[in-house]
Amino acid sequence: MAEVAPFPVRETEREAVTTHPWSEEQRLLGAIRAGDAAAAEELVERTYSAVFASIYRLCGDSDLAADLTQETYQKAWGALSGFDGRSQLFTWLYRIAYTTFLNHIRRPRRVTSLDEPDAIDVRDQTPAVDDVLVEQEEAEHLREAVMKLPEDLRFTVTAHFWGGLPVKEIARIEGITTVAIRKRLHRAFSILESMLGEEVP
Amino acid sequence: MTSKRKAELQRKLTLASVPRPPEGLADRIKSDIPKYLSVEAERERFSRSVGFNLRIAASILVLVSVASLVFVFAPQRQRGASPIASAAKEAAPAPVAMDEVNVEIAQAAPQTSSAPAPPPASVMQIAEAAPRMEPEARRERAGLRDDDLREEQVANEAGAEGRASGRVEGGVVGDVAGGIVADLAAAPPPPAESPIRVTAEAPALETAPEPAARTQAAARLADTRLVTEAYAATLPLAPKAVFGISTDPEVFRRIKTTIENGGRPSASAVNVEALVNYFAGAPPRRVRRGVRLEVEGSPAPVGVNGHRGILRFTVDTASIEVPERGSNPPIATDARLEIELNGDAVAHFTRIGDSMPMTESALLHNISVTGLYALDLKTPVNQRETIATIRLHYKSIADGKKHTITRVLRGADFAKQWSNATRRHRLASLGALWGESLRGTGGGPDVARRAEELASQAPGDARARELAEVANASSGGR
Repeated sequence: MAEVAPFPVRETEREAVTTHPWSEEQRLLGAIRAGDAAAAEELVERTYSAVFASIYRLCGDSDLAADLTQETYQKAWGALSGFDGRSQLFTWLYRIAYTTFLNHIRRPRRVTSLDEPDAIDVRDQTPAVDDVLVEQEEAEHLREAVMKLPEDLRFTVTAHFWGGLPVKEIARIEGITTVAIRKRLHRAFSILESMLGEEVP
Repeated sequence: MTSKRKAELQRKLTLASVPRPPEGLADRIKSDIPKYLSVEAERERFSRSVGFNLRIAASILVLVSVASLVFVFAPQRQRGASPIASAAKEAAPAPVAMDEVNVEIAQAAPQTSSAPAPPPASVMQIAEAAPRMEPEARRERAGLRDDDLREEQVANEAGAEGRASGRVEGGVVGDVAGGIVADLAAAPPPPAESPIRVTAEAPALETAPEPAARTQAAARLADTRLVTEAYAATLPLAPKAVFGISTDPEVFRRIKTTIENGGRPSASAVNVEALVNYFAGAPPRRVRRGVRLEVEGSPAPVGVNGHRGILRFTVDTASIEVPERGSNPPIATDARLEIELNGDAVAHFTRIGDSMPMTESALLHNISVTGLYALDLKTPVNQRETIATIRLHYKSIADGKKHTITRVLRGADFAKQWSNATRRHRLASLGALWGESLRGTGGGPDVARRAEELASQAPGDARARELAEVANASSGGR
């Protein structure tokens, strides 16, 4: 993998996405709803890296993540009129991204749409550094284990750790308390530990 | 679980790295931003669409009523069509019925002209020699029908993937039956003793020299068609080739006419690229903005040992309405397609059709162009291995910037079942093989069998039915 960024998003991006002033988000949303394409493009600029990163962690494939990110926004534009603003904009986007990913893994694979940089990486993929490979292998095992979690636990874990959503936001969109979300996380850790066995020290 | 273990797990979950988003992803996403974002505009569009639906419903009611009357009073005239044309009629019942209604009305009307009746040899001769009768009324009917089809087409294109068959059906109507109506609008009715059967006469209409046959009124009708319905290749002023790939729908129609007349087209008359594009058609969903590159891989549909793959690339540009007499504006310049095949995985490749440099100085709106490659893959094929990288370079007129869309096909794409490929891909690849079989490479019956399967899976898909019929007819079946 040629160029990596710290997960889930760079600090500047995280700040833009998750701690952006509420009024600013409302302004952006209002402008988009009024038909301002420039505001929509601004929203894309601010959020697409984080959406891409969260989907990448779900699927483990950069090219697929790019396609699903694009699909996420396509759905988002269509669903914009139904967004009630009770959750943060990124939380809403993440929910769409997660559903898009689930739809993808449930449907038969047809067309592969992949982009250049990682395609070249794949072609040149040679085990240059053992540590990198081990780390990648561990990450892949962990991803597979997370994918095997029950649906409610899986969403909670991925939304919190891979989507960067605070517990409070997840509780809001799930319609349960923050305590219940923390219990979910605890249960998920127990299951993951048993799945990964001795890999977790 | 100890707190140490929990912390370790949390660390692994949060600290893993991810690649940066691919270059151009933001542009791809932005290009999908719809034109109408505002809720108010959405409401207006909804109101308009309700109006469309009401108009379509009213039109269908009128069509069904008139068609019922025609069936009651002149049932014999429904018979005697050629098998291929009959199949097209079955696939698109309502609009074809409208064509017949136009014809029947013309036949039933009394001869009000004092001019001698035209000779019955062909409809085109009639159009040239005889005076016009009720041209305005029929032109109005034809115009109304054109509008209805246009709206139906737009609605279908905006619909879900599951409604793709409806879209294809509309496209066929726009290409074939619409042309018939336009020409007949200018032609007087034939004498009663030489009844016109639309399905049998259609080829004669389509193959006649256009300038002599089309009146000004008919030409105006053709010009006012929506580009979104017909796509560029079917427009009078549209390019018949994009990226050096023929998209001329007349190629298929000429071949079909030859087969209907019991002949077999010469190998030189079979332009496989044009057939591929005829059957690949327009995208299942309307492209609203920008340029789209779609690629797909699959095993070959028939007659191979499993290592032959079909690579398809399709470039679709945004569809826009072109005003009457207006030109189809460009969306990009300096467009260039690059296909890079991995020599470690591909033993041999063949471009289906003629090899041409795939460049286009100006890429227009409303374009849909498809090309195919046949690949002989080395075995065993690694599912993750890159087989082909397809790039589309262009300079966008909207932002003045250069863009590159890149798509990669891997081994897994060629390992799946052909039957799991998209309908567009299956129709395009079968159309190619059918064209090759007409050129004498054999395999016609296999193609016909596959096409028949495809048509039976989606009875409403007129293109699939049409392919099955011509493939059967040309291979000696039925």
